[in-house]
Amino acid sequence: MPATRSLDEVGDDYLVDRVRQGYLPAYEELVRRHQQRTYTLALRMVDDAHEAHDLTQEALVRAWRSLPSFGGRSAFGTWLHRITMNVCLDHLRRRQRLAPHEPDPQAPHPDDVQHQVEAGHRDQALRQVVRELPLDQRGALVLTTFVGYSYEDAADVLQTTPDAVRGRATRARAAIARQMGAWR
Amino acid sequence: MSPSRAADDASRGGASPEVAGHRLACGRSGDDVLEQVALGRGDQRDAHQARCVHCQAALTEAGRLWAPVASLAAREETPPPDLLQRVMRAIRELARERRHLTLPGDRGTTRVSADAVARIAQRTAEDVEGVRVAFSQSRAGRLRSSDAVGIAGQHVVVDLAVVTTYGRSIPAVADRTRAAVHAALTTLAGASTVEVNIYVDDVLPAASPGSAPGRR
Repeated sequence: MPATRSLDEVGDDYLVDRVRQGYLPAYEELVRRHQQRTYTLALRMVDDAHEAHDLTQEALVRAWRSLPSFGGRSAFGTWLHRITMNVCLDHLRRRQRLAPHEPDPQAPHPDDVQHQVEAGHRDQALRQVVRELPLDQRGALVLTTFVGYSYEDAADVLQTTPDAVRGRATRARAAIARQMGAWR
Repeated sequence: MSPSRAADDASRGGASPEVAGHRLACGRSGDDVLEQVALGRGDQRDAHQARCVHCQAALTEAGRLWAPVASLAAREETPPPDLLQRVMRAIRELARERRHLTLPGDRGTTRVSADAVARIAQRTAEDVEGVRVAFSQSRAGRLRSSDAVGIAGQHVVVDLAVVTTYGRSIPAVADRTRAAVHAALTTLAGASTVEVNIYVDDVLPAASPGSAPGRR
């Protein structure tokens, strides 16, 4: 690799090697490349822009600290999203433990999703349905629908099988279709 | 269907019996139809679907149900503008704790800071003929010079931005600068391996006699 080649011309693997050698601008380039999808993943998982910001930052810093143990069996982006998913799931489980019986503060209306759909707020209604999905279904849905992963790559992120991801995504889609189909 | 009718259906769990979780009258799975639409293949109908009214109705219904999801999925979310800055600030803090060139010896360990390495690289480069100014840099431009120095054990990588004198061969100046910085960091700082990346930012006429050192 020529020394004068700029960072935005090289692959992630090369940048990862440079970061491992202690070269910080290489990690800056990795963050620049992956921040949009990582933030989208966090945002769709927690449905709160402020929390997604903090969680994305936490994931990116945690990834940097964990790079010495990154084996390279997955692509860097997949590995980063595995960390991000775990950070989000930890956060959501903590949130559920702290307030197990309280309504979601992000929920626009405590009543049935149908009220929001009728009021023309399909977007909010959809987000509420996604928030109410079990976490394993939410993870599969977010990766395959909002981040654009195949079942195979989502399975790599979630460390399960493609069939399991497909099953979870199918249940999530069915729940959405049932709820969103309540009005026509 | 009216909203109240839809609500009645929903309460019975059968708001959309022809798609999700059900088998179509033709025997096909409603979940598979919904998956086909969700994966963006709603228009790619197989031979059966091309002639089956049940499948065609289900595909249309699935498309309607999935439209808000597809709309949300198509929305490009923009990360907060300060995300990169916040991440790198946090990492620099962590990195600073470990960023020393470590030189083990019989009577103790010597640690050379990234700041010291950056300073040696800069001053050495400025002494190279054909280099007018030199400073270590990062792509963000506003960071400390030591941020452009990577250290792992005794391995050093340094980014240098230089301005060369007009009329000098840039590749030759870059080669001389690289060799001089390599020699300085191995002999003065004790690094075992050194890599020097050089960015030529500008080319300026030779300075007049009497100007500051490093501005030839």
